[in-house]
Amino acid sequence: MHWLYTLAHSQSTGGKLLFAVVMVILFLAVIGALLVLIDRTPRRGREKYQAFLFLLPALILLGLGLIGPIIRTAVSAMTSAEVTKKLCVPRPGHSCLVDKGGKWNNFDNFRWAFTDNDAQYALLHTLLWTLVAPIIATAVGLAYAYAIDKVRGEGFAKALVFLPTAISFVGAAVIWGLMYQQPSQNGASGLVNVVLHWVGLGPLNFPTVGGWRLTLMMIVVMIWIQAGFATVVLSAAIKGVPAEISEAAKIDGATAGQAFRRVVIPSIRPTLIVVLVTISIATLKIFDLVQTFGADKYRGDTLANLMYTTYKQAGLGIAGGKLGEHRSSALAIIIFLLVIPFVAFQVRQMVKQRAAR
Amino acid sequence: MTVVINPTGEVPATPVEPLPTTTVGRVRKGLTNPVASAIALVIGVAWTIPTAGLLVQSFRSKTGQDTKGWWTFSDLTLDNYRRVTSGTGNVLPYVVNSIAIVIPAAIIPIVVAALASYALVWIDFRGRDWIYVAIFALQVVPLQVAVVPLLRFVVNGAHLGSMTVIPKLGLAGTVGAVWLAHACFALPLAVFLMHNFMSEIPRDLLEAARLDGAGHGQIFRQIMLPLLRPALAAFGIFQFLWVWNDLFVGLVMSGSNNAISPITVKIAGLVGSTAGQGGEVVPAAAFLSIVIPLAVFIALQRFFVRGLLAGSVKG
Repeated sequence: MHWLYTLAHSQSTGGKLLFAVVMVILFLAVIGALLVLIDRTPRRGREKYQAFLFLLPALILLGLGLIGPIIRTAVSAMTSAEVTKKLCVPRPGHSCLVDKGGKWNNFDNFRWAFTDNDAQYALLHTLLWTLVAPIIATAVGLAYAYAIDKVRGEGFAKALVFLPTAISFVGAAVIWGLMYQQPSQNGASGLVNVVLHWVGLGPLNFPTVGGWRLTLMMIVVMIWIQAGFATVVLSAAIKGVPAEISEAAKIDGATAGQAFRRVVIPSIRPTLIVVLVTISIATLKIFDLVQTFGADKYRGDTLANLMYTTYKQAGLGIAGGKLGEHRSSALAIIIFLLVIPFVAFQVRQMVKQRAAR
Repeated sequence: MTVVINPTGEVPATPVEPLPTTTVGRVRKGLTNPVASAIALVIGVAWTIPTAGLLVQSFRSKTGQDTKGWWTFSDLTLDNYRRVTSGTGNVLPYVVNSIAIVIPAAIIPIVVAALASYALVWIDFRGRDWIYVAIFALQVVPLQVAVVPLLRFVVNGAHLGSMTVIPKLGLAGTVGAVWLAHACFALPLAVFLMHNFMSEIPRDLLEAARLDGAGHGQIFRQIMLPLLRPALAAFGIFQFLWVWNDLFVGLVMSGSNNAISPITVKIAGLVGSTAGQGGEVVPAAAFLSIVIPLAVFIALQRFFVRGLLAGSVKG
């Protein structure tokens, strides 16, 4: 398998792409072999073995990538760093300090997360994000979906708002960095500040304005990205509202606003909640925007970004006595706990959905 | 609920659809008003301008960018694009990394999920509903919780005390580390989607094949896979966009190693490092990074919407 190792570490364009293709082919070959094996299982208790083999790849990946790591992170969050000397893996032959972890430290990492100034900011700002972004994104999506429903050019209108869905948060950060650009001495200024100037307001200095203003300005970007998702899903829901109901409302003399509030909203309530929950989960883990804008330098941090910077300070395998990785584990666990109610809701919906079928 | 988690992926209306000619359409039309049209116009324009601004800016020289807004369309040049596609500022190698990451990261989880869903839908065994719910519930695990231990595993292998359970795989420092992470993290959603699609396939089809003496493996290969093609396409696009646009996993798993960093990591680095000077190429680089997913998205939007409506639960 030496050639495969060499290929994996190839630096050339062709080598990298070839490695990807070879890995996919190898993977499909393994799956093919597994399917042949499934049909050769012993007759006694056959279905049980077959089910196990069908599930095996998924169980391996889930154990490796999710279940094992949860346990490790939980242990890491509860323990303190314990540094020993060990051979360095990235550079064989060198020895470096390795954090073995393992000493229970009585929730010290969590105590840090709730008392440290930066961590408190991050927690508070994450809550601000989660309170504001999902509601406004959903509201904008709903208003837009309803406004363009059944009008000429609906498909095009929807595509306009849906397009940012395909754009990465990093790309969005560049796009909005340009929109928010501070007025420079040379004369250039972002569109937002130009408009503010027109209406007689002072410039917003992004990102140096810092604090909750900075967070709100980043939330605008999040709304810009997520509203398309809300529009598409809610638009499908609005089209699912039986025509007879709207018709009846109209005959009864309801105005457009009344029909919207009393007929459309109640009919699509379940979908509205699902959209809210989905965006909330994404918002709780907001990282890319904060990282790309460097907002942590201006008191605009979030939990997920603080988790990364704390981890990064420690570095993999070179703990050097720092608590970084253990503290970042504690922050990750806090995000985990915050997400649980939302996902619990989704699981309940899914189970209900299955029972109804 | 009926709409969002809609197992067949039967979309009530795709974004591209004919104008209403039915009574329903006319009644709805009657309920909209000028206020609604104004809202639509404002939102539509506000959502388009930022991206258009970036596109224009990416074609403008440093002087132009420094002195005037992009809406003046002044100082147009191709220079920025030349600089980000050649020489020391070339970002194309990172695009290659992204491609090398996204191919396995999209194919592996969908195949694994299809296998798992087959067992969960078509084979009767004790506890199968529990396993399905448990896999779905694993979506609760934020990447933040899972990614660092997974990196440690890739670098060191898995150990219980001093016993080595799984040796290191030699993936450390390769793009393999990045796509392995994506493949694992995508599974809960992939299983959910495939499970929904698979439940819609008529049972008779499977039973007829069983009576003809086909084994489960054979049925999966010859009957299920062809029928699942729309589901594979829907999830494939979903996962493609997710992986291509991801920053967090790429950042942690590549550990600032330029040789394997995806394009998002490069762009985020550029934004940070060019705050003083050289920032004029960032719009061009950023536009290069979003043009591929944008093209995929526009071309295959229909499949994407179907996947979205079938399980809009990725977080």
